[in-house]
Amino acid sequence: MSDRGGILVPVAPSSTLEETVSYAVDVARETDGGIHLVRTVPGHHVDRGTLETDERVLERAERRAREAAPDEFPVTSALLGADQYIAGPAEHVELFLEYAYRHALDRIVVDPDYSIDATAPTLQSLESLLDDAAIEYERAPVAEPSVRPTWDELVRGGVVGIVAFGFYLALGGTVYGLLDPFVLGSAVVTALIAAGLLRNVAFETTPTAGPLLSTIGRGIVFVPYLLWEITKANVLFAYVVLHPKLPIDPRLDRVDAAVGSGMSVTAFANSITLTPGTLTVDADGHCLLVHSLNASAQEDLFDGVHERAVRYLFYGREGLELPGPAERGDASPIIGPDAPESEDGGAVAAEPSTGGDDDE
Amino acid sequence: MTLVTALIVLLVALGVFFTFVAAVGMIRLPDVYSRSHAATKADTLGAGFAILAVAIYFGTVGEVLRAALLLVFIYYTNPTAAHAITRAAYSRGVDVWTTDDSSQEGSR
Repeated sequence: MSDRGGILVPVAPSSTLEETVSYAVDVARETDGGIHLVRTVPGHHVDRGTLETDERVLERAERRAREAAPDEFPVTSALLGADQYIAGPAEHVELFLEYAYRHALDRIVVDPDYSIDATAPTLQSLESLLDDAAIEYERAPVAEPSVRPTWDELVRGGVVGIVAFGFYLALGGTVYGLLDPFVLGSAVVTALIAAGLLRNVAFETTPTAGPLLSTIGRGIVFVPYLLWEITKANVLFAYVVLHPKLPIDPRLDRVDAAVGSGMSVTAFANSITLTPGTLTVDADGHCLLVHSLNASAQEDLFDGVHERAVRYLFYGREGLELPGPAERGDASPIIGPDAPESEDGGAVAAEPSTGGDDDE
Repeated sequence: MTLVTALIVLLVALGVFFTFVAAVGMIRLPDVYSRSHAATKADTLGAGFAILAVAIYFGTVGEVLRAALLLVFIYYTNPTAAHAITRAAYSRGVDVWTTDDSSQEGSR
């Protein structure tokens, strides 16, 4: 390989970030190329606060690179994906590869403790995706990935523990009495186990009090709305099914949801499935494949009625302002009356959607 | 018959009605995708009404709380299961039934 190309370092707020950057600088010095520190934003950029945290992490990496390297050494840093919706490891890797290609970088140095968000380290899926790409990558030989829980982990564990404790009492406490010593004792043990096991699984980002409470608050508005929509959906559905002529006109559409992060895509996909005449068939990142039972269901979908509701839930009032998928040009019919060229019978052109990393 | 009993009867009746709609939908609808609509929506609401009736019948805090949790889990798992089934169907290349197909019946 040419020894001119630079090195790309995916940046995440891990404890081994500094070591990784130093190692990358060493490698880059040998090969005489520059070093590019790149951070992908996990799709919640509507929230200004998190974007600033991302910038701070990047600064941290840059500072380290400057310390480790002589003055003339080229260090570049970039924040990717802030202007688009990304969900799932594949879309993050795509951004890295695109960047590497654009800047003619031919090597990636990965932090062994790298993770896209606050969930368990994503190193494995990252590496398997990089295996498929035509690019060299290596794992930085750092002393040892962190074992000690960080403050963020403690916060996440705490929240999981409290929820688990409440759940346990809701089940056991209501039978044997809330103050029963056995119930209380086993509730504490259960909560601790749950917190220990699930602290890195249950959240995508470390919850902070303000946003968490306002999401819960918006959830209280969202749930009755969803229940009402579900009821409406069912009355319509009952009419269609019990009608002697069975007036259905199914179609399949692709919709690029304007929501980032796995959690909000899941919520959106599930609320599509539960509401009037629409059903999520497949999800690839934030691209959803939606089956509609008739034209009016499709219209609702294209106008972005549910999408706005889910955006409201996760992003607050700002989320309501975005135009629907049809207006944005993010909706395209695949099979059905509106499809570009309807080959009769609708031979499903199932594109090879690899992986199954989108329905956690 | 008290008002509460009447309410419970109404809720159970609604539950039965929507579950019935789900069953009819399963039989009448043409393909796996549209049948999934029946299995998720009508079934979910039917179960919802039934559980609501149970919660009112028992009426204690514990029962209501547990019924509510049951409801939450049903509303979470049902669409997820439907998604898994239709996704599998789609990646196996199962055709989507359209109104064009009704004119040329019996192709399968």
